[in-house]
Amino acid sequence: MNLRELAENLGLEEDEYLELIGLFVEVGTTDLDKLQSAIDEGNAEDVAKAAHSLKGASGNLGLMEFFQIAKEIEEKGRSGLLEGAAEVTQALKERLKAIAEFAGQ
Amino acid sequence: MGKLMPLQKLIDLDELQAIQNSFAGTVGTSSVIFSPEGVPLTRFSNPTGFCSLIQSTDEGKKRCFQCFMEMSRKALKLKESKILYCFAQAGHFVAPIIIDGVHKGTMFSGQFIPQEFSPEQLKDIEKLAGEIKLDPGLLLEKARDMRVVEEDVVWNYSALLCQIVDVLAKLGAQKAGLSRAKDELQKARDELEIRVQERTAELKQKITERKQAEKIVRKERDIAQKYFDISGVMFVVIDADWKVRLINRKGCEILGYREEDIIGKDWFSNFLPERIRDKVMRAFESLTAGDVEPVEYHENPVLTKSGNERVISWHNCILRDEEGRIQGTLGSGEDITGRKQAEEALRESEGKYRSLIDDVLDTSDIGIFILDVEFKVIWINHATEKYFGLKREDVIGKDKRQLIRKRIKNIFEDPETFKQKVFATYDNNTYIENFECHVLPDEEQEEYWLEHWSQPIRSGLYKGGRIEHYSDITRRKQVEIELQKAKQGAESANIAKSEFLANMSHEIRTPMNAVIGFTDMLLDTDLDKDQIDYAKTIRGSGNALLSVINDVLDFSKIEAGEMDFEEIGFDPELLAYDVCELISPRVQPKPIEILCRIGDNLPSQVRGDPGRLRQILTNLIGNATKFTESGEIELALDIEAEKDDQVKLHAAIRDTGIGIPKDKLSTIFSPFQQVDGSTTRKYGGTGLGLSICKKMSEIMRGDVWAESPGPGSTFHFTAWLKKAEDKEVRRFTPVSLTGRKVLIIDDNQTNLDILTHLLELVSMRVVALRNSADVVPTLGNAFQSGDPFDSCILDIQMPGMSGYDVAKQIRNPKSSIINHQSSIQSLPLLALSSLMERNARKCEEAGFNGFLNKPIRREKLYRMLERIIGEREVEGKKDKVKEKIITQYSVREEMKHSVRILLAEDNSVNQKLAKMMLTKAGYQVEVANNGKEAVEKYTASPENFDLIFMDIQMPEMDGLAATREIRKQSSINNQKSTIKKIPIVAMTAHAMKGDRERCIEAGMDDYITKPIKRGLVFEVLEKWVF
Repeated sequence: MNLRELAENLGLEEDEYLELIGLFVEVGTTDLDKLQSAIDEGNAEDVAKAAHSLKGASGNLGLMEFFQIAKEIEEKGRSGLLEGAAEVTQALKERLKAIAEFAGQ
Repeated sequence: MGKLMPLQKLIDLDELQAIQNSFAGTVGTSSVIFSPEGVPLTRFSNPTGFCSLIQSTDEGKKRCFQCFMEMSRKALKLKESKILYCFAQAGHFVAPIIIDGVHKGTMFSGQFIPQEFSPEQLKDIEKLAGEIKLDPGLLLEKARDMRVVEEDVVWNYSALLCQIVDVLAKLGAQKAGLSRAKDELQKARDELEIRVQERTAELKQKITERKQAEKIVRKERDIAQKYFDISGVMFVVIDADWKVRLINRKGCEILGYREEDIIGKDWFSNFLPERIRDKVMRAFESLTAGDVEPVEYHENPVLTKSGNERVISWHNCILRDEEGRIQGTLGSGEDITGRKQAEEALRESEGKYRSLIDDVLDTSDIGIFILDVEFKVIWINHATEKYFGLKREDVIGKDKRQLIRKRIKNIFEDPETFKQKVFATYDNNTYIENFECHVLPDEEQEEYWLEHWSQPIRSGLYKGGRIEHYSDITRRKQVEIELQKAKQGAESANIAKSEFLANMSHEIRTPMNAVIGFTDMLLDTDLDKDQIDYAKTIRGSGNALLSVINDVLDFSKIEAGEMDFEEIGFDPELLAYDVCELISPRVQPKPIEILCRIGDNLPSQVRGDPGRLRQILTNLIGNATKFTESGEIELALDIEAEKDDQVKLHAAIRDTGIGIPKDKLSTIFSPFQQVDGSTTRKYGGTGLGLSICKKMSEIMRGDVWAESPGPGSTFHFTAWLKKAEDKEVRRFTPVSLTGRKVLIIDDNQTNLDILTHLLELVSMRVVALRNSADVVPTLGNAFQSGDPFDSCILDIQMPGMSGYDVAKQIRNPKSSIINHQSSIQSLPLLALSSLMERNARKCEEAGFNGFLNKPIRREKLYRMLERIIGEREVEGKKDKVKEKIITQYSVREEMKHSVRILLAEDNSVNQKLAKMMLTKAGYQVEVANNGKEAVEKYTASPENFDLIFMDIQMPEMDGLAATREIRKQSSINNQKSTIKKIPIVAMTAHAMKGDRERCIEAGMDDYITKPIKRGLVFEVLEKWVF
């Protein structure tokens, strides 16, 4: 993850971008919790919703790996097949943590 | 001799004694001889017992002696013999012994009695015995024994004795005399002997001494001689007869004679040159006469044996003898012939040198003053004489400053300063910086310009003085003056040129304007297809011609260094879009796509000259269109670098055209160059465009260059622009122009006609004036009559009162004509100007609200009018009229920057990102977190928003639902259709066919894909808002 590149792609300064990352981590954590609950409850619709939110944000910020995984989960949610969602969610959590560290959180 | 000798010396005392004894015995007396002092010379002969007895006691001896002395004295007194009787009654014959008249002694023949003692005598003797402590009886006894001798007998015998003695004495005396003489002779002889010896010794000594002395003398003399001889100076001693007495070796050497040939010769006649003989002789005579003292030093020649002369420096002193009489002279002289010659040579060469210097100095053009410490002239040269009208002889010793004061006509600078400067340097004894002065030698002569140098003389003969130079710079001054005139001439020529250019541009544009304008108007009328075609062709040609003219005028402006640049704020993004928009018609028939790519880091505001920038970009893109048949042309704009308060803009125009050969990549930027000659024929163009672009970019401290890696080519352009400090946001309220009253002023009727036509097209009411002086009264009248103007459009370049003047007059609060009518004062004013003029700033200062370049584009005109009229409408009457002027760019900019977007997005990250991005691009953004909020916010104040970006998937109410709601509401509320329905743009991640339809159905106008990018946003805004 190259901070400068990511920021430049969005036409932002690095500090501005970091601000957004911060917000993303904050919101993403909440969303991940929601996702987890949804998976635990087996609520496919909610899973899709949460995943969709995560997907959108990460995609906008250029965090493409995160985006891909979130997209996967969303599709699972939409299709109603939640198999393997838990593991993938775990991966997502770790990803988020890595992002948080990267941003110096 | 005999006189002096004592008796004992005269007579042998032994002999005397014998005689005496004989006598005494004979006579029977006792005898003794005494010396005159009383000393017995002989022994008592035959002493009586009587006397002996008396003498045996001390007393008796004493008395006897006393008596003796007395008797002697007596006898001596008598000087003859006498019989005396002593104290003891004894008789004594006392006879002085006189030899040669000298008493030598006394003979006593005594101690007898002439007769028997008488009884009285015997009594006395008895008494006496008692006195002298003798036994008297004894003494009487002895008295009786006393011899009786008759006086006569005694006398005779004593006299006999005396005679004998006398004879003996005389004999003795003689003998003594002889002996004495003998002794004396001996003594004399001895003495003589001694004397001789002494004398001899003395003489010997003397001789030795003298010999020594002689030796010393000789030694000294030798030394002296040596000195004398080794001396490098000649010594001559001349006596009173003029003869040489002494000459030393040097003298001989100088004169060339041997010593013996000189000594004794007459000095003057032999050894002096004839011509000076008399003089020297006379001097010598006075000297030796004692009339004069010798001169310390004088020079006189001598004549050598070989007939040459040597110059001698003489010192003479007088020789005197012991009595002080003058005996002659001693002269010491040094041969200075060599020195004299050297001196002469030196003098000569000095003289030559001197005259050379004098010549040089005198022929030099530089005027020289040599001054002493008090500025008095020591010397001047000819040049100085010439410049100052002086004569050397007259000025020596005079004060230079006085001399030249009158001559100096004017000093190049203020005289006071000059004086101070000059005197300051005199005080400091430093150099004067050169200054120039204008000198007039005298009234009739020509003037000179001189350059003055002054420097102190630091050493040598004239130390403390100054050397001053004056160089003739008349020629230089003349040249300077000429140059000055030429410069002024050139400058005024330049000014004339610029004025010509300005005039030309005006003169050319005006009819061009008419051509293009009327062609446009023609096209607005009903024409058939052919007519439209022809009219379009005319218009195209007109535009082409105008662009050629612009190029030519631009180029000549650049060449004249007259190109000026505006500095106003503008939005570079808008500019780029503008250019692209402008270009699109040109590529119409060809399958070329025009792309515009704006970098995300482009600021929304910069300061620079938008017109020029536009010109450059248009030119570059124009070229691209010319040389591209198909494909695409892309204008990419971004910021390449940033520094302090500036940014470096970089534009890249890429095309897929024919490209440029490598070797031509740089030459195409030279004026009049195209890729090859055939290009002109095929593609047209003056060939000036690129060189103008290049030059303009250089003025903006950037560059233009081309790359052509193939296929196609890319032209790059860079320029430094200033960052904009603030970004004024105005609320743009579109306002209808229908029925608005507008006053237009232009001195050119054609322009008026065109403008009137354009304005009437949108149903405005137009009043046209040609005379600027009528403006204000017209405005006033309209106001009075209750039908005021909404706006006034003024041409700037008008004779008499220019557009500026009119604007200023209108804006002037003190203007009596306006009569404090603030509604007129704040009338929206629009300025129209020819393209060449960079007048936006000036118009702003004059108080214009808007500014447009001719030829005018109608859309621009309308927008501008809407803007400036609308602005005043919304905010009511303004007292403050000084606002930032709106240009054709700023209208759009302000529109852009005043765009308020309602962003409906639930994801906070996305929301924040979008907001950041949109704000950066210059838009006003308000957020809604979901559809419901969006509806609420919008319906609360619909006029506050220009566009809604609606995310589809949101909680509470999604985008579609929200849109439907908004549409429903507005159709209820909205009566006036002047306000268009708000554009709602969907933000979706995917653009699948089905999605699109659904959005449109819901009432949305458009969509953009996420993540949103600035360029897309702009496109959308342009489409729906601007």
